[in-house]
Amino acid sequence: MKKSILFVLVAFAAIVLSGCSGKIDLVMVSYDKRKPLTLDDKLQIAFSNVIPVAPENGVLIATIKTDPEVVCSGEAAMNFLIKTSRELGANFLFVKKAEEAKVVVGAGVYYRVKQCTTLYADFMEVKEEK
Amino acid sequence: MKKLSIIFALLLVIPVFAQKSSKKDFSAFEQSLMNDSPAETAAESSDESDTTSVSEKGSSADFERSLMDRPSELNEVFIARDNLLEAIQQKKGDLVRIRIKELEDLNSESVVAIENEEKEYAFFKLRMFKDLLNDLVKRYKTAYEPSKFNENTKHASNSEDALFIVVKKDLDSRDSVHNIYYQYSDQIDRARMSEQEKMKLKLMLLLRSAYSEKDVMKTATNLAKRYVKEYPDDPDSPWIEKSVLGPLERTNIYEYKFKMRKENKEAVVKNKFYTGGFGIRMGVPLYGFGFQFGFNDFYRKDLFEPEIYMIDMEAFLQINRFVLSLGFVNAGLEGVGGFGFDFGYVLYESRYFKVSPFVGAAFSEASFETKEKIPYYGKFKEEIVSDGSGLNTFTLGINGDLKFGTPYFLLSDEKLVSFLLSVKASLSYIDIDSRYSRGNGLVGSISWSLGVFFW
Repeated sequence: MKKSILFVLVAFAAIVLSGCSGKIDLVMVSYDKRKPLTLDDKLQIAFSNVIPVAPENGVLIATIKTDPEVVCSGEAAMNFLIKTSRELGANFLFVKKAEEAKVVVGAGVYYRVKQCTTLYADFMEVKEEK
Repeated sequence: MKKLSIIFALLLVIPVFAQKSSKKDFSAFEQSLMNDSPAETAAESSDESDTTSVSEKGSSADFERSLMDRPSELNEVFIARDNLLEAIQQKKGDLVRIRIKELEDLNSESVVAIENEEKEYAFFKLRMFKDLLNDLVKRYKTAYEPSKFNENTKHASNSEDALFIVVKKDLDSRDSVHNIYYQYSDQIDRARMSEQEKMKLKLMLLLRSAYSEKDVMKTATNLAKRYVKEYPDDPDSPWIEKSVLGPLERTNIYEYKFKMRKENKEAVVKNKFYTGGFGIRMGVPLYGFGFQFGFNDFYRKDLFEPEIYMIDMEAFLQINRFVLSLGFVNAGLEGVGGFGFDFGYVLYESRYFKVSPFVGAAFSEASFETKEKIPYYGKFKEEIVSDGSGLNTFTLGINGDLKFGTPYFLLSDEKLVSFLLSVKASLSYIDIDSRYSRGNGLVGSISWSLGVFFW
């Protein structure tokens, strides 16, 4: 009987703590509830090499550093940013910085070194001026 | 005869005029129509000591071709651009300012009369650093405003006129490794500007490579911090803090994460009410605070001593408002306890309190220590005996948690852990029919426990 209780405790702990490893790379700033963007909603994307400042009327929702072990190529990282932006209900994506680095990727006994891109970006909500 | 003398006189005058006239007397546009490359002319006139020229045959031919390609409807723009180049070459700052304004006024939906790089070239060339600062601030502050230009807008610079060629040559000659600020830092330091203006100009110039060069980012971040701190009354300070410093600081995502963890703590806690989590509680029943009906003689008191379950232990999983709890619990009857499960509902949750009524059931066992040897049961003295009779306990109760501490869980910025002081009040119907005991009735009990809740 006591062993079964211990098992239940361990199982619960494993379930909950597995979620606590956390997305260290996504920092939420605003916790206001926002509806995710639909495909019809416009998402504006700005790059710091063109405009090195964020929009003054933007409300910051979150900031992110993509994980090269999850999304390696620049294109995959960019797609991930767009997807996350839509999920967060952020209609403005400010892509600030790109870093190139070699990352070991693989599973089991198969590993290889790949050149990956890490993107830094801010998710914002910008109200369109009427 | 009279006509012939006039023609003769003209023939004498023209060569004299041609010799006396320096190239400087022509506008850049007029010079461009001559054999010499306008870039060459511009270089010559802008800096007498500078003997370099761009007289490659190819570029000269391209330039001449570009003149042919100039859209006639943009003549006014090209004349204004030539006038600007002329003013730059003559080093007339006030005139340059006027010419740039003229060109900016010519910007329209159909044409970009002057590019930012061309304005910058003029400002750097004539050390017009205040104008450069104003232009950069205005440009960055209005960068996201709806533009009058569209994809069909023509760029006058595409015609590769004299101004374009001169600016391109200047851009090509620049140090592409280091930020342009470092090329002009000495001159900016010596410029007749306040320290505040110099600091702001340095920041605006560094910005263009702040996200691509690590050292520049560090310098720009520190500079923006200093500026906001030293000049809080500057109307641009709030903008610098929000739109310049903010994005820069956030690139150090770990430092920013810990800053935001602190700032967002209460919002995170509030946001997680009624969302759920996992927890455990360990405690003891307070037998003295309960009551019981129907259990006066449910075991032989002359033979057995009830074994007191000192510690209750339960684990609970909350999903939204619903709580499932499993564990080893004591219904409040001495000597009776066992594995039980509860279904609860979170009625109220706040920063410090949580109240959840529940219903539950348990497989309670009665456990006793023999007082003496009992041959009938085959038991020796002081032997523990226990026996149960299936699902025999049904409980209705209410649980109150005091969350007396709620830090973040490890490095997470969204998971929390709360330390609990819990009190549980319950009313149970117990029906025991085992080898050593028999009885049924109601038991009311209060227990307290300490717990931890991950949510």
